[in-house]
Amino acid sequence: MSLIQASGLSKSYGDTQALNGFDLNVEPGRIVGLIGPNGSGKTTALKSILGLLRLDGGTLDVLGLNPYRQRKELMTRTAYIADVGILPRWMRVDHLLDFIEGVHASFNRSVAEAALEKTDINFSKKIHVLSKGMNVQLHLAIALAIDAEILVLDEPTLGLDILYRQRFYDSVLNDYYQEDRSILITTHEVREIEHILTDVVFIHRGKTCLALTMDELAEQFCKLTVGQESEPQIRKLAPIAERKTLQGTEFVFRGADRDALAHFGEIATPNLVDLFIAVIGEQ
Amino acid sequence: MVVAVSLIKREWFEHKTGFGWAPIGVLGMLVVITAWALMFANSAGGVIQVSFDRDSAGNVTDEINLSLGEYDVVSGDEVLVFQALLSGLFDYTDWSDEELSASIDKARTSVALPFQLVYFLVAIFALLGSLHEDRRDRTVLFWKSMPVSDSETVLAKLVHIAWVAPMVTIVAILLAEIFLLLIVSVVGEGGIWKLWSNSGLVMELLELTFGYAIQGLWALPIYGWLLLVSAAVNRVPFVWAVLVPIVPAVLETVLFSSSILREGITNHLRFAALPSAASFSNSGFEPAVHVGGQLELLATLDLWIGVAIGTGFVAAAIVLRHRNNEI
Repeated sequence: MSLIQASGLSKSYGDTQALNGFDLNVEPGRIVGLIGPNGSGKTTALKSILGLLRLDGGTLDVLGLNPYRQRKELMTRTAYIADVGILPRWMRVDHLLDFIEGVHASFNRSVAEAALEKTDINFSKKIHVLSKGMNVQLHLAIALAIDAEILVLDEPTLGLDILYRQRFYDSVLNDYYQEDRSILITTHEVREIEHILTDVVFIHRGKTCLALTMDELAEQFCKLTVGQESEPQIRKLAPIAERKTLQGTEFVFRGADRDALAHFGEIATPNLVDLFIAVIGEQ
Repeated sequence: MVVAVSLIKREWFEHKTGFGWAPIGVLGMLVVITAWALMFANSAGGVIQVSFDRDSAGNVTDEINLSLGEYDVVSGDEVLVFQALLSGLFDYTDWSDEELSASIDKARTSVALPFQLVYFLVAIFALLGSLHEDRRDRTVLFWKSMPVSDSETVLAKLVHIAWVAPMVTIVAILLAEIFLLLIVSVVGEGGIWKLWSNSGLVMELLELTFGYAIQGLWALPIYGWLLLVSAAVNRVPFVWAVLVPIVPAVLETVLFSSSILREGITNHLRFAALPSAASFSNSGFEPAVHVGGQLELLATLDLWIGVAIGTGFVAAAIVLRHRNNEI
């Protein structure tokens, strides 16, 4: 059974159509990257999944619940980290832990405390004195101490230095990820998450324009790099995108025969950025 | 229950300065002013005389006259009575118990005023910010990631501000009164037992506790309105909260030459702001300073109409809290 099933979601703010036929299907045990440019509807999509907004249309089922109507039930089984700084700045770390322990049935305080012991975070300090990195560490420690089936990460490493970023995703994989749980991530730093994703969903102008597993991606798409002399020949084979690089010209193909292309030049699987640009360009 | 306690504790931590430290600050200022008044009265070298007006049957009326030497300091203005009482320069040896407890009763009413006013001002701004600040700083996204429903969130804020936060104010008022009685015990004449047995402190505790319990109900249309504005608007909630009620109140007067709305609002504001300010009432409305009057208030239609309207506002605030997120 899917943990998240969304089809045909639509949502508009005034004249702006934030979501316009967005589809998403997340199975247990998947790490799904939701990738799109600014204003593509990523955040609106995540918010609707978290029950923060009422949709104009479409059907959305998260853990068998209607997120907007049943946010409270949903949140006992879902954890969420947004871009830095949504923890209450006026609160002390230990008081925040007290609060969550009091209201959250699936929160295991000792797990959070054990994770925080490894950091420099002082429990009696107020959150506004913590650095950006510590803020994210604290939120991560809290989120990972929640026995949740879905972890939603919305630009979680925005503004963090490289050291914290690496540790962030290591913790998520080591301490949270299991067969029956799923992670949904959006980020601008696509390269940072590329290697941990099992699935990728491209969103553009509020619509899902590509959704597939990383294995399917490698099967369906390939990237061919050739020298200038064979360019005209390659263009006849209907690539979906081309790009000049220092090594030559890169062509992205969808559903092409890799062996047939191999003798023109170097064949590889396109990275997500290349693929995203190609797919958007194709449309 | 654990959830309710956690939610209330959260509110307390957020507003500890306003509801915890502010009344203690008022207490501190009162102590300083008292010390100053004592020194002033000493240096003036005079003795404050207190006399009571009596009606034809010989009963003490509301009028109390104070004089310093040959000057009338104040006449009939009970706000300043406590300064005379606390200055301790008068001698209550000849007073009857009735006169003494009437005087102390006046004094404690006026001592309570600054505390009550500060509490009310803090409550107004706490309510206006309660469903607005977290949307502005985006922490609403964190709060909404907790398994707490919007109605639980809004009700916790209301219950904390209306019925939990006043406890510190009540304790501070009692401490201020005990402090003043201690001073009179030290410098006054007339017997410590007589003073304390007429102090009415136990009654005061009851009256303040009852008073705030009922004041919460009386103020519900105001508190509910502030919550609603806080949940509804994205900018300058204070301006909205003040302007929106003024327009229909003025229109009512202009169009129908009646003032039901205006009187309703001012009546509710008056007792909500100053539950002890008996004489500030000038439209026939008697605020409930004493337990009897407080219980009578429960039997007025005014109170329950207000509760009904306030409940509607709170319900609307919950709906908007559900709908609105970060600004």
